Amino acid sequence: MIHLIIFIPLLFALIALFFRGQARASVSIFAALSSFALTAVVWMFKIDTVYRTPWIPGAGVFYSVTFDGPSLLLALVATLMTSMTLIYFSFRKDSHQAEGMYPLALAMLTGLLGIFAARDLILFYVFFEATLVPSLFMLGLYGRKNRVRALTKMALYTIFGGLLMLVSIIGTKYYTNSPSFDFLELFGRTNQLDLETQTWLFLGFLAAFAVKLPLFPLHNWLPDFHAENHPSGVADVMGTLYKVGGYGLFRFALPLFPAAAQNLQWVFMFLAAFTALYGAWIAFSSKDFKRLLAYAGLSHMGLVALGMFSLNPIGMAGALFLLAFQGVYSSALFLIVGMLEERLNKDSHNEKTTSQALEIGHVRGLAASAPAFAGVTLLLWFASIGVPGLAGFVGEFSIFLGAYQANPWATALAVSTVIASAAFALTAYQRTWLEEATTSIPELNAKDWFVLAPILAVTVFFGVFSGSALKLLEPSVQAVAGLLGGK
Amino acid sequence: MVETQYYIALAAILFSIGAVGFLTRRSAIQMFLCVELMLNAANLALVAFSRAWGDLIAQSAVFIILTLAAAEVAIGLGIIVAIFKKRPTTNVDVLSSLKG
Amino acid sequence: MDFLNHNLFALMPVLPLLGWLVLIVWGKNMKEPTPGIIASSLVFLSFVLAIVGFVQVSPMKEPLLNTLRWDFLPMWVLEKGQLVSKPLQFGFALDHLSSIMTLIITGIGFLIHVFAIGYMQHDKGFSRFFAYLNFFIGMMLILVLADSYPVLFIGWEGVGVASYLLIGFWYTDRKNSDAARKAFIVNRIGDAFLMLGMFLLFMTFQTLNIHEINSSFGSVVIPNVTTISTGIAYGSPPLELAALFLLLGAAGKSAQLPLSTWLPDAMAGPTPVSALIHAATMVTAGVYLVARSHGIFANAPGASSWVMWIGALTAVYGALSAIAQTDIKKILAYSTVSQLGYMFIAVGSGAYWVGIFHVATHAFFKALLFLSSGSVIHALDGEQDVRQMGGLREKLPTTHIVSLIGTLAIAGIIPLAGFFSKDAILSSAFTSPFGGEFSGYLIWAIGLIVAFLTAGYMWRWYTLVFLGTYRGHAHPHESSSVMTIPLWILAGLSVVGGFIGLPHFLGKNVNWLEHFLEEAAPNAIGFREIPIWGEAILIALALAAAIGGILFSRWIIARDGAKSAGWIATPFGNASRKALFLDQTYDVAVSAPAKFVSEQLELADTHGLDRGIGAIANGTVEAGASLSVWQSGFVRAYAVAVLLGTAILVGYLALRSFA
Repeated sequence: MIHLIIFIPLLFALIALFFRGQARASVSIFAALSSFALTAVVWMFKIDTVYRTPWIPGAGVFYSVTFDGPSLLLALVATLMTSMTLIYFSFRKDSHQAEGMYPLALAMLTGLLGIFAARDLILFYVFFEATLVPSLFMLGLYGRKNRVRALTKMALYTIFGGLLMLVSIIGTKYYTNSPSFDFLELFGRTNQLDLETQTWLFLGFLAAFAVKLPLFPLHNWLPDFHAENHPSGVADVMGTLYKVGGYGLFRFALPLFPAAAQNLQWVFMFLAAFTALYGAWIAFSSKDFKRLLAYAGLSHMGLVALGMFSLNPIGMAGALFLLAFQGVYSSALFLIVGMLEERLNKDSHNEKTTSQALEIGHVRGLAASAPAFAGVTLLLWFASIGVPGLAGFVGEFSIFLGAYQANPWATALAVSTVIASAAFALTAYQRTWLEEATTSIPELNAKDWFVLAPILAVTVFFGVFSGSALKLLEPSVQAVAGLLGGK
Repeated sequence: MVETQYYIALAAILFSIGAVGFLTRRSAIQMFLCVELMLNAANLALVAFSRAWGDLIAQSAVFIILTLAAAEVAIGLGIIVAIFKKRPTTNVDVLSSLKG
Repeated sequence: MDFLNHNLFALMPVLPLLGWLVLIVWGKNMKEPTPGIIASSLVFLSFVLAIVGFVQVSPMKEPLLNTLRWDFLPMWVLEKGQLVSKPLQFGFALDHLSSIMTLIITGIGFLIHVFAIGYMQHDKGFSRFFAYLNFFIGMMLILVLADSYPVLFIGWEGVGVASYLLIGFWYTDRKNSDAARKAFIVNRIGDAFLMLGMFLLFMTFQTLNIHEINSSFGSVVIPNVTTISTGIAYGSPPLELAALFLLLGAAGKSAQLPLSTWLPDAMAGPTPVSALIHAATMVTAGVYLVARSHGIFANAPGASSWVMWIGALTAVYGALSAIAQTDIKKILAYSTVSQLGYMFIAVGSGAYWVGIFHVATHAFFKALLFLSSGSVIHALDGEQDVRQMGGLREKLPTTHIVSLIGTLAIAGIIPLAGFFSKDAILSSAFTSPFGGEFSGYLIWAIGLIVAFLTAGYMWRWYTLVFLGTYRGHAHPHESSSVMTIPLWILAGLSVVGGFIGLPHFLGKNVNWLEHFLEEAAPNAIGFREIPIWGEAILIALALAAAIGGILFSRWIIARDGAKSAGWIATPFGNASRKALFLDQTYDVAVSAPAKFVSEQLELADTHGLDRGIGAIANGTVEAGASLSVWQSGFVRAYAVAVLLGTAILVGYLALRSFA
């Protein structure tokens, strides 16, 4: 079952290559949806067996996968959002000009699911890096004018971080004399390492995760990545789902090197808090929607890192919750931007009109002609800035609550984000949707609602009835927190 | 039975001829021939030692090298012919457009 | 049946939220009064439920907890060194305090809804307006019914969202959108502090359940809830700090200094109805929060005296700012700020019932005044400048009478509602156990001055609008009965509302409200006793201040004429009209620098940091280029290099084996 879930998208990505047009779209959407459905089945029947078989026996590498709580939650979000995004993309007028998006997105989905399922460090590394390939292709094939520069930046940052992690992974096995790279075998041996070794190995992992989160000052690739990608937002959504640094921290880096984590805790808590505030503050001055969302995402990821480094169960549970659900509402905001761009942009090949369509405040007062569109956008913005009653709040509040128990000062710094984020979100919203109307756009149509309705439902439902998602996270978080001393 | 050192000596002489030729000739084809000569000198040494030690591994290695060399000659000559078609010369001192 | 008993009251917030959903989805297709009727009747149903709940909890000693609960937030606590998962539950509780609040919210809320059916007729956003109103009521009810701070926070920010939507209701006007955004951001500053307060409370008490925290001080005993012995002492630093955080949170929502600037802007916004919602209900959330956290504040004397002082300063600030305003609603807006300061004095002094008392009476007369001004604006086709009014006594007889009642009530003329609650506030400040005797007397004196000013500016408001001759150009007409009936009801309440909290010198058990709230929000311990004649003197002084204010105002208007132009032109009048320059100060000291830093950071991040990274990249390229000299392209040069290399290696090996 679990292998089906992981590899169906890749298989269908290959199959989709033989089709063109509507057929390709249908095949791809079918693959994503069936992956989602199977994941939901795993959730319903609580299948969490670990499947383990040798992959490269000589090197002690195993193909070891499972979907336990946090993995399952993230996998559900990834499959759902990929499905919705592909459906949205197939509705777009210009989708036939970028048909490669379908197989690339599916390939990325396989990579993501692999990342979430992998329990062997080498396997994890392979998925972690392999996912980069389709992501770079999306940017390189369908990006905007300065895509090569953005691509180079992203590839350099990511690959460099990833290589340091690979060194650490090999080092971990070497120093612990473990027979394999399996997490369960490494874990338990690593705490016999002395603090210095632990710290260096930990920093190696952190290099990869800090780039991927991203954390200040390794975030520089992110705004360019989003700004230069195809305006439809498909690549942005996949990129948002690909922000797995926080997950990697929780799953591997923290439990493997608890002493190092505790030792460096305060440094990274301040760094994370600063990242959160920095992102939100810059977002206030962003002139482009994609950049704005990139910095907003940076701010979210700062919070995720804050929760993880709190080493407190409440903070970590909140961080996982935020990580999962920002994949829903932040992604949805990219789709909203895509829908808006499609309505405003007369010529998607023209760099100038595309820039104008993505510019904040280039047109104003859109709420007058499309009130429902405005309302949906506002709701998603409110979710994104953590207004209670929506999914963003549960994660954000828990992160702060947990982090405060560990480090009140860093948390106080991070809490000021709620002010900054309200400022940038409402300002950007007002500039485009409110005030005197300068133009009019078509209201959301049935197709748009088809994409947005499930997303809105998830955002609102899990903002109030968060218990079912929390139940998934609880055992793993408790186990990790127990290791870390559970302060 | 000829002593092993004669074979080695022959191999060394062949290698030296090849090396000197490689360094002094300018024609790509001649240089190529010199490379082959050095390769075969090495093969000769391998076979000689193989017989001396009574170990057949080196002989089988030589077979592999021979087949590889054949393929290499085919490709190498092909490249030289292709270059000659485009350029008026096969003088390697002129052919330096790949320099860094 | 038992299930119904326990969960019926939890339906209160659900009904208006249902109305919101229905109206936002299908409202557009409905004919004009239908959305209003749906919204009003749902709020009325909630009001009925509030009455049922009131009857239910009246005889009970402990809060009524609903049983339909689910996990909301992840929480772990340490028990005997073990991490135990105890998720925070999404649950409601009804006790005497929240019962009073639900009655005010749904009761006043219902009247507002009815009034709005008349006021908003022929507006394009008719159904949208009622959707927002319903949303507001639902969130407000969540706020007062919550049994834990995070659930309270849902309502807390929810009303913030509702006020954002209502203030910016006519969003095509940039001024309204700006005011809405400002309100939300300033509120969020308070919210950030409230959050910090919650985190500190969790650190100290290992729970965020309001009743558990209050009961851990031993003042309230709740069965079914495990009491934790925290050993938190009276006035200990974490308690004081948590109380200060909560205070700043409350200051944001209740427009206290220094976070008061959003409220007048919000009031100047589009509809008097939304303005009223802020005046009568939303802003009282801060007062409710302090009263709700009475256990913390009663044990934090330092923070409590801060509450009093912030309240006192805000009361003066609001009153001074209200004096020279020319917008009919802005006068009332600053008056609200000032009256909220009064409420803070009350809850800061430790007499929590007094704060709630003034919340109730203020809701009556301020709602009345706002609806009256709404009626005036409606009659004058949107005119809001009091200098363009006057002489409306004959033209709007109903509005005139009820406005007079409201003015006298807020001024504190016996026996109207404001008289009793204001008197209770002043005497509780006089006898407060917090902040020392001198500070108590000082705050009492400030309160007295504010009473004088309140009577003064309200009389000016009344005179300029209703007395004299009409100075404008519209054709005033009395409003329809759908608007006047709520006015009459509120006028009645403003007259009799004070009798729920009669002063002590009239007898031992005449004070119904204090008695009713003595379990849910008991007074702090240690009020100074004053003799009965002393209390009577205090009351007489308060009354004298009110009458003095009215007379002074009459004298000023008689001297300067109805437009009081000469008066407003003075430096003091100018400062008052600009609200003592607080807005300008914020613009210069906070907004502008924050914006500047943001722009610089954005530049630095997209260009500066980028260039730094670019320099590293270029450096790598250059280093590579310098090495590529060796790649000369001369095959024989490579061959020589290979040969030399081999020779060196062989030479090295040979030397090593000989050495």
